[in-house]
Amino acid sequence: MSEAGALEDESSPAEVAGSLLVFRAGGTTLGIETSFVERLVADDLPRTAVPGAPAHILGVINHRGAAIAVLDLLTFLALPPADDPTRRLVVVRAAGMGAAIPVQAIGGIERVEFDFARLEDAGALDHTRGLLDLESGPVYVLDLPQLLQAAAARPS
Amino acid sequence: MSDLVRFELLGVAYSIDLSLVESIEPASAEDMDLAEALGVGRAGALRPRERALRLVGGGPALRIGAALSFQALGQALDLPELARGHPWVVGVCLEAEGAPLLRLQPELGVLS
Repeated sequence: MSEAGALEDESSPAEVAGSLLVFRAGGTTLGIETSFVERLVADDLPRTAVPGAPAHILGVINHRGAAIAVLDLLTFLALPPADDPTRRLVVVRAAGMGAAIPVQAIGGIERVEFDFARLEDAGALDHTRGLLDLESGPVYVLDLPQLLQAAAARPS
Repeated sequence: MSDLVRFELLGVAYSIDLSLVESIEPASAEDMDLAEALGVGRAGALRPRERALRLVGGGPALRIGAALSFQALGQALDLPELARGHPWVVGVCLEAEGAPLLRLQPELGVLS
């Protein structure tokens, strides 16, 4: 690449500073932009299973006066399971929908600068913006609006 | 004031708005198995004191088990979009604590 090209790349408006909530679901480390995250709560709220709901919906919970669907990423994304139980729910909202995602562990919030267009390909993992290499290791960055729209549309 | 008929099927609590209920009567073997209609299992053999609901819209009575109670509606909400599936499950009723109570609106023609 030429020097001029490199300078042009560095000033690209697509370069975005943002923050990611990093967590582990099953054996996979994932990230969600914090702008989509409403709160983190303990995974101890009673759930109601819903007849006819897709297999990736574990039920609905009552959290502070809102009914929220519990979305199982392991089922929906076909992720490998973990031996340890889920301990937290990441409550998110995107594409006009809310969801609570059970996770094994919260890794923290990572301040990152990245260009969605240049993220490493996530391979076979659907509904991601790509793979981001952080100091703590590789993180699949979820495309949450697309993921929730697909979860609402696709039975599994 | 009682707005809901609350009952349990296979360990999950459901409700139907009282305004939709024509009568509540002892269940019989000819009644529709609501658990089976919802796709959550089968009620099995009739048990003592088991009840059935007959709806104002007509159709067969629906077996709803023996654990029956009445309660006020509370905070009624639509079912979250991600959790929609069965056409009879139209919403939830939230109470101060505990799991959301599912609200059913059986339309007997939908599944026939």
